Amino acid sequence: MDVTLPILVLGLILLIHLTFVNINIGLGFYSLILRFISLRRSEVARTARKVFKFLVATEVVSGVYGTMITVVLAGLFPTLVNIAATILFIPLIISILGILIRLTSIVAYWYTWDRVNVKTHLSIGIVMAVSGLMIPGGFRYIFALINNPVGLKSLTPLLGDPIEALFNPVYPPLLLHTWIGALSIGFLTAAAGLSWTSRRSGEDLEWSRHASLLGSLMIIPQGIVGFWFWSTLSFHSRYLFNSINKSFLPVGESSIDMGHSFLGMVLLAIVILVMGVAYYYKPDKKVAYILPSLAIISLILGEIAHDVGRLPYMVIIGEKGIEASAFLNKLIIIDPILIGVGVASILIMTGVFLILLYHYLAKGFLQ
Amino acid sequence: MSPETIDVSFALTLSSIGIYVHAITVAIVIGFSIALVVLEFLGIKKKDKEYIKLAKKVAIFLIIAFVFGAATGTLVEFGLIQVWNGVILAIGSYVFLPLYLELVAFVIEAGLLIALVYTWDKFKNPWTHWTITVVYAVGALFSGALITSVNSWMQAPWGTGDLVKLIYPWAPSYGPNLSNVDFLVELKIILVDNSLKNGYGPSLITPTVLEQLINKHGILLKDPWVSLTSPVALISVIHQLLATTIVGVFWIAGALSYKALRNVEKREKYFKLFKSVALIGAILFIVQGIEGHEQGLMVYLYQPTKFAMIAGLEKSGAYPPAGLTLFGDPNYIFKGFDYLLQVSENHPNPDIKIAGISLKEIAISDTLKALEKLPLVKVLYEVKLLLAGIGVIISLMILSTLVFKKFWVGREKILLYGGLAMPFIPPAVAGLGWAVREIGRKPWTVYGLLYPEELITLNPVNLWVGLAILAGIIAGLLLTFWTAYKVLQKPPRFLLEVEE
Repeated sequence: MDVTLPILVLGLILLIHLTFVNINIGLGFYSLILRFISLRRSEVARTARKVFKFLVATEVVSGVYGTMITVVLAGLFPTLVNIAATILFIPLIISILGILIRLTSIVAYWYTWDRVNVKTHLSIGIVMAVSGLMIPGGFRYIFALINNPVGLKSLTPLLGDPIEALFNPVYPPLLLHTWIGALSIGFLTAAAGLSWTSRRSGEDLEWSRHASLLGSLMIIPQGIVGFWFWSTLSFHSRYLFNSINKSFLPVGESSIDMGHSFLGMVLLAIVILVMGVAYYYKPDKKVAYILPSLAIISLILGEIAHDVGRLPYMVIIGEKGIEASAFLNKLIIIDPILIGVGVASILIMTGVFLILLYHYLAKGFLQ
Repeated sequence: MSPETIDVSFALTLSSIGIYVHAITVAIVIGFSIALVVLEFLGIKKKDKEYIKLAKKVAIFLIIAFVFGAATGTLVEFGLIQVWNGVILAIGSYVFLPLYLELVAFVIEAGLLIALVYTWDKFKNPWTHWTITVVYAVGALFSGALITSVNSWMQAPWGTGDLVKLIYPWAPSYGPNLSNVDFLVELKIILVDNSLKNGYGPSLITPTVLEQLINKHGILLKDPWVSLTSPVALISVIHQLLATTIVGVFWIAGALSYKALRNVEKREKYFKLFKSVALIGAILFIVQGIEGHEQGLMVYLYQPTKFAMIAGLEKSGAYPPAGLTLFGDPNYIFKGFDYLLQVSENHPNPDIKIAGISLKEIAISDTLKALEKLPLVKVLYEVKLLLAGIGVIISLMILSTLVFKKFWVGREKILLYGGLAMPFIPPAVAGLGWAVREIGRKPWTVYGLLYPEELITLNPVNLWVGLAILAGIIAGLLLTFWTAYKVLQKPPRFLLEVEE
């Protein structure tokens, strides 16, 4: 099988997964912030709950697609998974523990609302929000590893240093970029949702405005960390740096030009900053609805630049790398139709779920 | 004991804990989903709010447990690829399809579980909602079936033909040979060689090594569907799904019997619900007894060492329960370890070597390793049978209420006490059965083909790793049950709507 279909499948599920994960991490934090505010202003508890309601309903999508990534990676790129599982033994354990705590604490936070005292509930909320950060805290090491394989001593036989891998210079800016981005996207989604609900609950508009301001202002630290990440790539992942800057900088060798995606992401971020601040001062529902859409498009463009920019390599080593096709599963002949049917049925099911969700949110949310 | 051995046994223990904890939620998810289908059906059909209320309670508990199940499922999944990296080879070949299809089942299961809770009472026609419940339950069963088929391939590596027999002359054929034997043999040589030198096999699961093997021998497996066509998988799936359903159903029945015994005023109501739920469990328990025969037959046919362990046959001899059910002769003489060792001694290919060790030596050494597990497996199996016997008696008592209705009037408490025991007996039976299944396949991880030592990670699986994972599991488990308790203590609105 050619490497194109596996890459497309992996890319598609990764983008869907990352979209929902980012939204949910941010929503969790915003709900928690509102819950804290509700200690002084009890009426805000209702708004906090509405924000969390969306998270509860969509967490299943991010969870399911996360599982899909693992299976698809292990099935289609088994040797890559072996390398990551060996070198990144510690970060992956952190992520797994994060998943374990995050999922159970989401359920606990939701179902114990008004069933336990507020401080206990807030404590669960803190666990829920922080554990959400733990998951990318571990998994982002995979991206750092394939950008710059620190800790990989030998490919055959596979030898590595899992402790050295923890000090990958690409990792800190990448993780911070992810965390800030997730908060920004989640807050902007909350702004849109609360703008919608403010048609019936006027007080939600205030929190929609605050969410928009917070989410858009996050673009500033995001830009600073983004610059840090970008400059780190110039030292430690040259090929990827070349790919994302090929259109507008005199860079070295790269067979792919992702400058358009990279620039698109940056320009959208500026638009989000302006529109988000403008919405805070002059709320307009249309603006509120556009903001999360722009944030998601920006996320997708960023991820495309980051991941497609590595191609044809999967692991970058300086200005070259190890091609994605080297990791492709050739142990069996995998029928592309089967892969397509599987992915299509999962997408259809997701679509049905989202339609149901829309009806649930549109009806249940408003009433 | 070498550090590697400590790592392997510790990792095996850790994996067992992860799987057992995951099994608790699997039992809830599968067992409760079947109970949910029946209870909602009875509620709609009889227009009885009590059934609907119970069904809703089951659904709420189900959703809370499902999330923990998804989390521990991830833990088990990562346990496989992170601690037992070597299994990645199987994930990329023999068990790729079941795992891939499981994604579809998981999406159906997860999506519809949310849908069934959130859309309850939203449809004019209640049967529409029941349809969602049924499809959800099918998704849950499908998911369980596919994962069991993955384990079943490791129990009996279907599609490898006579390959295992080549090493162990006492072994059967595992279906048609759809594997590239040269590829597998060379892979085995590489893994053994590397295990002997470095102690770890997964260090050779690299693009270069696999590319060389593929260039030299061609692809590993001709038919990726093979693990789903195995008779061992089919029987194991039925056995496993029945077991988890029985456990889950009797947990609900146990809670109802407790309520009935505690609350005299509402005993009649709880007893009615208890009877409905317990009857499902009792019927399935009896069916499981019959199906257990088929499972035993599979062990007899495809896992000679495990059968000898279960039957306690250090020496060939009679094993009346199997003799009677398999051949109608309690005195039938089964082959014990003496025979397996003798056949290994007279190996037809004694001169063929894997990594410098002759096949004869390997066969004798591994058969002796299996023999070491006999006392443990035999005891576990006998305790399992004893408990299963008690379970059958209680199940027959519950079933007798269908026939001897008058007899049980005024004697309900006896049934309720039986109901109190059943949340413990079927889980113990299932847990012991799983232990027999897993320990009984040792010294291999993939029966007759691969050892745990060849598959374990290069990283030390030490106490800190164990403690971190255990702490996460315990925290998740406590949070889940605490949440469920809080919810049932103060029911959500959609439960109260039934009461109104």
